[in-house]
Amino acid sequence: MNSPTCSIFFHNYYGQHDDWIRFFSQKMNVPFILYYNIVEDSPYNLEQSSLSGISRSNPPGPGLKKIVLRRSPNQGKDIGGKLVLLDAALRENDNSEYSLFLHDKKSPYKIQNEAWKEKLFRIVEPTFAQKALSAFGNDQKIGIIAGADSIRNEYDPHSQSFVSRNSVLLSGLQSAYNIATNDYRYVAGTMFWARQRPLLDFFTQHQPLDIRGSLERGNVMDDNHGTFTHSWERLMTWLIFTRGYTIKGL
Amino acid sequence: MINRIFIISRQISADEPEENVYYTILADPASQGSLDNAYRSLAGTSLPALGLALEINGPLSDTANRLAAAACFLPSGLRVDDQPTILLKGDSQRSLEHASAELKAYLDQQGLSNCLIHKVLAPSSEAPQPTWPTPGFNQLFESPEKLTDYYSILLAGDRSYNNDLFFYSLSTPAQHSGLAALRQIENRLRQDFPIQISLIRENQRLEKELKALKKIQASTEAELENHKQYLEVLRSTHPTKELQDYYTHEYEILPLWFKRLGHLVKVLTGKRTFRSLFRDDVKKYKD
Repeated sequence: MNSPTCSIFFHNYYGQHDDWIRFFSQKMNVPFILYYNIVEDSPYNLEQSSLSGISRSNPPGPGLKKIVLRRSPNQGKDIGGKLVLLDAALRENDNSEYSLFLHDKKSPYKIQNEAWKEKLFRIVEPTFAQKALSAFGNDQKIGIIAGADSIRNEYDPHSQSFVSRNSVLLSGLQSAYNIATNDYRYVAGTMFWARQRPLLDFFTQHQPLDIRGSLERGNVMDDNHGTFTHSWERLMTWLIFTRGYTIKGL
Repeated sequence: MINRIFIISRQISADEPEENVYYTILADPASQGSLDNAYRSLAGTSLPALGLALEINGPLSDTANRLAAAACFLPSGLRVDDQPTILLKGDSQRSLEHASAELKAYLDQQGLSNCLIHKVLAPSSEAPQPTWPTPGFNQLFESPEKLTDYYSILLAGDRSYNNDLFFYSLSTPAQHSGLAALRQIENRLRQDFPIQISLIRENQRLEKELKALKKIQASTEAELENHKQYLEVLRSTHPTKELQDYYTHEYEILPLWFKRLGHLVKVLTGKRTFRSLFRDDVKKYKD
């Protein structure tokens, strides 16, 4: 098969672009297109002159088929960046079988920040990728695969309600976008493997940039109140469930 | 060039990159095919920067608004003074105003509130003399001769630099001859008033530097604010609880025999003294 098997959607806030591209080229053992969004107003990314050099200094190789670069303001954190990249994938008529969503995760407000980041990035390891791809191949009902320790449940069966502060927004968005599911598990950190078809089907009907327009600007957090950004972190998983798929943790 | 020259055309035929000369590709928002072609040109360009110009004959479609935003996200999307830049070309002031307001609202939602939207008014009739643009609008030149006449007058006036000029190029030769004529006029000014030109250049360099420093300041302030927020979160919950939870989940739940085996492994790997397994009053960990 000539078409690439996987499209990586990577959102970058903290710079070090060549290191990241080298990282993906070394780790990925399947052909991939790298969609790469740079937060342009991040203090780590002010050297815009290096943008054109990224593609030039990282030519396609046996794994890396193409780099599709984008730059966007810090809106909706990594979710906003991934929506910019999904818009790019639709415009590029991307037909990869699988998607891999990642970002250069840092949560300086968490004590176990580094340990959490390592757990999330486990999904790029070749052994994990191998297992994920064979799980997708063996079970057609699996739509998302993530690290088992990053799968959370938004629903509390005892109180029969959503557990986070995003509950009101979530209910509204579910109804607006027709995302009906009884499975409220989601991938915390939004780093996961997914079948690409159901994702792109959804975003063909509901344009990624229109959704991005509703997300909050800047370094939004949901510690005190719900946000559209954190709601879409959950909906990114649920929209695949509505197409009859389930999630598997590895 | 000491003024910004925007070339609008349906097909790009760019010369070598030149300071303050910007190329844009014209698309018809009412035609999906035209928008798709424009996107392909913008995404696939080998130019350092290429902009989008939209032909305005009525309200902008959602697809056109999205394309404009997508063009701003492209690494080679046109930026003037680091601001994303879109051109709207039309012959009706009202349509241009309306389309500009719609587009601005959509781009604001995308966090692109710094985007420059130039409303470029096409001449309704062939005026014999160059005319000054209507306030709030930019004048479009379609004839190289009229453009050069206008430029001569502009350079002789007291606002001779940092202006925007818009040239709709119907053909590659027209584009080349228009640009060549403008360069010639500037060269004449450079010869006649060399000090004035060098002062203009210095002024432009300093303004550029000031804008770059302001950008660094804004993003650094935002990052500082983020770190203040992180500290507030860290202080709002007692960190020892998080550490205790981490310890409990990572270590405490392990079976006792496994933990004891771990202590033996520490001794074997030289991390712990053997005697400390049996006595509490001896040194436990090796440095």
